[in-house]
Amino acid sequence: MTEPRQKIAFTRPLVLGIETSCDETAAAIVSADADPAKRLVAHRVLSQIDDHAEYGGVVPEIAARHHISHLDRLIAGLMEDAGLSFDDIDAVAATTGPGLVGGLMVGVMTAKAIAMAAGKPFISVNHLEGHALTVRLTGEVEFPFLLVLMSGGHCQILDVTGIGQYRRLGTTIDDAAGEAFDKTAKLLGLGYPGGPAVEAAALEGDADRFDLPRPLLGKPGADFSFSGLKTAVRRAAEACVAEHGILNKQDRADICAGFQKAIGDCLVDRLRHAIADFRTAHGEGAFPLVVAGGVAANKALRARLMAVAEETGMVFHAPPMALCTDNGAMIAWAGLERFRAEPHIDDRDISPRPRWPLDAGAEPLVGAGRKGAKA
Amino acid sequence: MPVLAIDTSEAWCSAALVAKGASLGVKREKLGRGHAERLMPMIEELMAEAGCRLGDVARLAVVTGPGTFTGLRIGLSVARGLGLALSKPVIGLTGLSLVAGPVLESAGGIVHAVTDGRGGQAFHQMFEGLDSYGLPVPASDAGCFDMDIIREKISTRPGLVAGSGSTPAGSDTAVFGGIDPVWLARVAERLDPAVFPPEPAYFRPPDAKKATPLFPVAV
Repeated sequence: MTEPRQKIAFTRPLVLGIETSCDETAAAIVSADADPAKRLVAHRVLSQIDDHAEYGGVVPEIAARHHISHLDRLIAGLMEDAGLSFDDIDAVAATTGPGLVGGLMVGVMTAKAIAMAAGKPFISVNHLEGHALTVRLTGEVEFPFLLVLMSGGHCQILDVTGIGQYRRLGTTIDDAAGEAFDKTAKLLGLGYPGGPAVEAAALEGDADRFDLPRPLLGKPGADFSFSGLKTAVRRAAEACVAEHGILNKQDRADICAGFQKAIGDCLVDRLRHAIADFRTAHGEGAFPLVVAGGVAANKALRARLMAVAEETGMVFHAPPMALCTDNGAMIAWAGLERFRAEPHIDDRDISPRPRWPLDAGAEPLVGAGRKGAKA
Repeated sequence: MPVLAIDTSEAWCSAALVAKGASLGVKREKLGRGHAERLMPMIEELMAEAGCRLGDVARLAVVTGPGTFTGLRIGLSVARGLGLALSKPVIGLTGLSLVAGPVLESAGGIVHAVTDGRGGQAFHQMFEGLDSYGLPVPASDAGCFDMDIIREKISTRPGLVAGSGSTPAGSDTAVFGGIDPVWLARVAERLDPAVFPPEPAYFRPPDAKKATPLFPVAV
């Protein structure tokens, strides 16, 4: 055991954040330091990628089993890294949704138990808000900003005007962009997670060999649809297999390159529409364009989004790569922002919510009923 | 220094506080669902009525399974979260041993613990007698079985049948009133936390199918 480092004077509040909504078991402590570089006090992420790889995607029951077996020890290690005790922190935040309910339950109940034992408030954090506010943890980004949130489970463009203040400009009507990557990778035998595998294969491919669709391209609005593209990818792969008896590497690389280009074309088109909508609300000016979620880690797509920002006079921001994918720091920070805004907050009565759109008041685009809007 | 025991593994949401074998308070509610919302207030009420603070708790005890997915996660997360924040050990015992324990204590002999499962299956373990700590002694491996297998196990070694799966297992006499959290706390008071960690006991593999490629792929 290492000697706990001498306690330094942190700028309060100090918030512990817990993230268990999908396949990362993660926790972090953040402070309100004026210097963004000093805000992240400690963080730990335990990825489950290897546990899910052979199944070709995240298996909810395996994810939940992993969270319950590791979360308490992960937090114990985090506290040791930080040299802090639970008495030293001011609030405990956890992702309460959206996400896989089994994992959410583990994080929320662990957080509530810690909060109760330590006599601290519990703060419920929307996972998407965590992604949205990460750039304010790592830098100085003022409201309003335009948020492009692209991950394996989420695909939205939002006008963000404050903490808890979101207006949806576009969302997907079927698959998330990252989900399309994962499903394409699975279909092509590239394994899980699909994003990095498809990106790597695409580097060797000819993006123009296959004529793949660009769903909703040129249509009004900023919504996405990727299911037709997914079907076209399958047909292209099947045609290659019918010809050669096997999907060879070049065919696969060409499909990946074509697929990634099609996704990029859709993102660029939809983003231009969203920027026009954003500018109608906020006028001209060099507003931040914030890109978050695992898809922001794709270099080709990131470059295309940066180009749109430049062409439209927006200022591109993205969290560091390590904070693009799910992590505890984003949850701790979103909890801290809410705690600062509402010092008497205590969300102890809030339960996990598998579905929880950021713009709760908007008309559901997909899904309704007991479980609530899916998008 | 009291032991706080909690159980949310099946329909019941229960908590008890026990010191030196004596109950300082107990709460038991048959909820079906809603354990996540009820458990924390229940613990607060229990502590307040017993005139104790959480900081007074010397150790925690929890049911590790089998049970419902959500229920097990709630109980284990809360017990482990409290243990972490209070720096106190957490004892985990299987629901099967906790179902059999009180029956063996009062009646002796052989007890078949049967806990409801899904899809026509149930969890079963046979116990015979109590050890020096008062824990039921296993006489078979715990597992998830088809109901006719369980009936066969019971007819091969007849004994009392206990647990939420008693009736489907063919018992017409057993009445299951849920795991007794006082019994759990009492036995946990005597056990070594290193030997009985709060690790979930699933007794079955997760529901998952391995990915198989749709067509042959060059590697």
